[in-house]
Amino acid sequence: MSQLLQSHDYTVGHLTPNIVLYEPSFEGWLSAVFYVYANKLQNDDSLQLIAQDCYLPSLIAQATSVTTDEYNAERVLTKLHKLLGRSGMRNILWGFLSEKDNIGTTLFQVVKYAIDYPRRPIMEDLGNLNVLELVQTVKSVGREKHRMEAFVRFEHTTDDIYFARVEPDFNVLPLIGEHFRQRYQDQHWAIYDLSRGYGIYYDKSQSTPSRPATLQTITDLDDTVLRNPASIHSEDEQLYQKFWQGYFTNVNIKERKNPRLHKQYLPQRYWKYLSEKQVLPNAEHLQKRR
Amino acid sequence: MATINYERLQGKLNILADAAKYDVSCSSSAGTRKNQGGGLGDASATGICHSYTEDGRCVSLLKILLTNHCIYDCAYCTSRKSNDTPRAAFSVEEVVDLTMQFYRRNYIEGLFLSSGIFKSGDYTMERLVEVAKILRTRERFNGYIHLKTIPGASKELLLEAGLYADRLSVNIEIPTKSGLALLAPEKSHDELKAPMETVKTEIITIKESRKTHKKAPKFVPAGQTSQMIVGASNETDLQVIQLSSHFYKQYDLKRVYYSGYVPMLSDSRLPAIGTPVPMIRENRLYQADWLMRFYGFGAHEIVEPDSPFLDLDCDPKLAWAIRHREHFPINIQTATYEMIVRIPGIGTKTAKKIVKARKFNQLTLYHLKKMGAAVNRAKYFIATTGKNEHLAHLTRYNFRQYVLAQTQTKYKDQRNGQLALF
Ligand code: SF4
Repeated sequence: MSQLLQSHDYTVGHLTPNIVLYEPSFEGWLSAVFYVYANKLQNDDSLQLIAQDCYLPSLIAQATSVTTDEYNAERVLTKLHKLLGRSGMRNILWGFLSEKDNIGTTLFQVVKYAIDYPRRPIMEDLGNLNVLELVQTVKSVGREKHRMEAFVRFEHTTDDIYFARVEPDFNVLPLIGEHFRQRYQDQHWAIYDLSRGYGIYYDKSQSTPSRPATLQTITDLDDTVLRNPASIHSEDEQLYQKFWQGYFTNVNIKERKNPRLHKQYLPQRYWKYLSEKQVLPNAEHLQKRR
Repeated sequence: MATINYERLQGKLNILADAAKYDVSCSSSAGTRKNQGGGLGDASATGICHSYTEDGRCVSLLKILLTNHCIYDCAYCTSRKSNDTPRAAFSVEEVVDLTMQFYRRNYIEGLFLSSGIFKSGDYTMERLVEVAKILRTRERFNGYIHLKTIPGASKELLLEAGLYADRLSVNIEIPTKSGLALLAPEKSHDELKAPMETVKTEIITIKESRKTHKKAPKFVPAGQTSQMIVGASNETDLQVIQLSSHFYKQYDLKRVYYSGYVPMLSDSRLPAIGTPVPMIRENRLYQADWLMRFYGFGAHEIVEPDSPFLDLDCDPKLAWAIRHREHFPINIQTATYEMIVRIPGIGTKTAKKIVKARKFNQLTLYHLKKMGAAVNRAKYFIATTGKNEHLAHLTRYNFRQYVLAQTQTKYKDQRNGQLALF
């Protein structure tokens, strides 16, 4: 780490740095883009933009850390908005949330392409490998977003909050909030990303008849609760989980059973948090008794 | 408010979920209902599959029967009067409660409610309408609601149902008149089509009045659908596809669903128990249906009268291309979108990408692959700028066998591994 901090001392022209490190936030990356142009590094073929926390120092590469600068970030953002439009910016942001190792560089190359050819609808040029890489990444992020919208399982707690735990592959919480906000306006709810240690919370008492409440960010939830949410289940929660399990089991047509397809659509890594998967196949409450 | 007996609810739910599971018309897409502030739910998005059953089918709705008691005796149905099966009935409040509670936990997109017929069509339909009405008015539920119309229900009830439901559907059940007469003598095609006509007319009327009166009520905003069972009587695919095409044109149906018959009743009129479910055939019918709805194919192009069944070895688009090699190769740099979507292995999304990307680049097979085309099939049918050596095979006398042999493994995957079962 100390190595990284010292690297601030590199000066352009003395030793040209080819790795630019940014603080791991979208503003951080925007600041790095600003830095690259301010120092005219954009045409260096070996240039890489890497999030600080993903970077392994190497002997041959020169790395520069860029601190986040909100003013610079804002300037880049405005410029990009103009160049790429809403849907282009959406691609950039979604790509960024993938947290892929090389995404900072890919995004930069796309941005550079847009700056070099301001009249071209560059997002349509799938023959460009950076654009293609981005579009494919956005697709994976979109898939994960969609899966989270589907696989979130709220559990009703004694505080009258519907609470869900998730561990998505990409950082999709910022992308799914609006979906849930529109949908669940008349209940308190929270979705917590265990792997990233933060969540979003909707407090219905903050809503007005014409507008749903704004989402709040929550962090540092009690670890024992996260590991065992049953400890805060409301009285009815178990009941409805059982109803759901009984339903899920009985809609299955056993003549058509197809475990491979089942796993393809419902990847096993999500099962941990799916209430319908937390039950033995011969459990009593799944039977068709009257 | 009526009380709910939670003790017995689990058993009922298990029975009535099981009894509803053969109904496949359960997608929740094409919803248009927005949460108008403060309520629960929103059905404006495309449907979400919240789970998948072990048979690999999407679970997006609470799909249940109100009751599996029935005064009818349709041979293909487990709820039929003469079948010995545990019976149950929900109260209206129980269905409302389950829907709300499941929705609140993000298990479902909404409710799909069908029913056996107890007492009479009207008596049953009235209760279905009551469930939808309470959900919309008392519970302020904006999620998706699909009601099945009950044969014999009055026009007035249908019209009321349409005010609360996003979608109504009428099952045509068996694709041929003779088949239906044999298996469900109490029903007839004409009788089943009558409610479709009513719903269609009302959709048009309300659409018209909404042009002038913005506040006019919505009526089944997600339209109407139908379902037919295939493989229970001896209909051909040609008959099935022609009937679907007729429905799309005549009643403006949003979708027709096909349900491969699952033999579970012994009856001399039906395939014996143990006869495999015609899964591949069902899959081919869906593919054919897609070709009609999204690819601009006419029913007459998909199955031709001299061989009235779909090719089980290859999908209908590939089969069409093999039969009509005179249209190929297609030059992807210059051909119209309509022709590009007819290339096997190229879907509508890829075709759109091609039309955009070709303005910037001369496209090669590599590009197509990156854009998501199934190049292993497409390569026999396209001309690109570079030389395409696969084109030489297009004129082979045994082209069909050749292409199938080259793409077979891929097909097995695409059929979702079903082949491994047989
Ligand atoms: S009327 Fe419907 S529920 Fe009754 S037996 Fe026929 S198909 Fe089954």
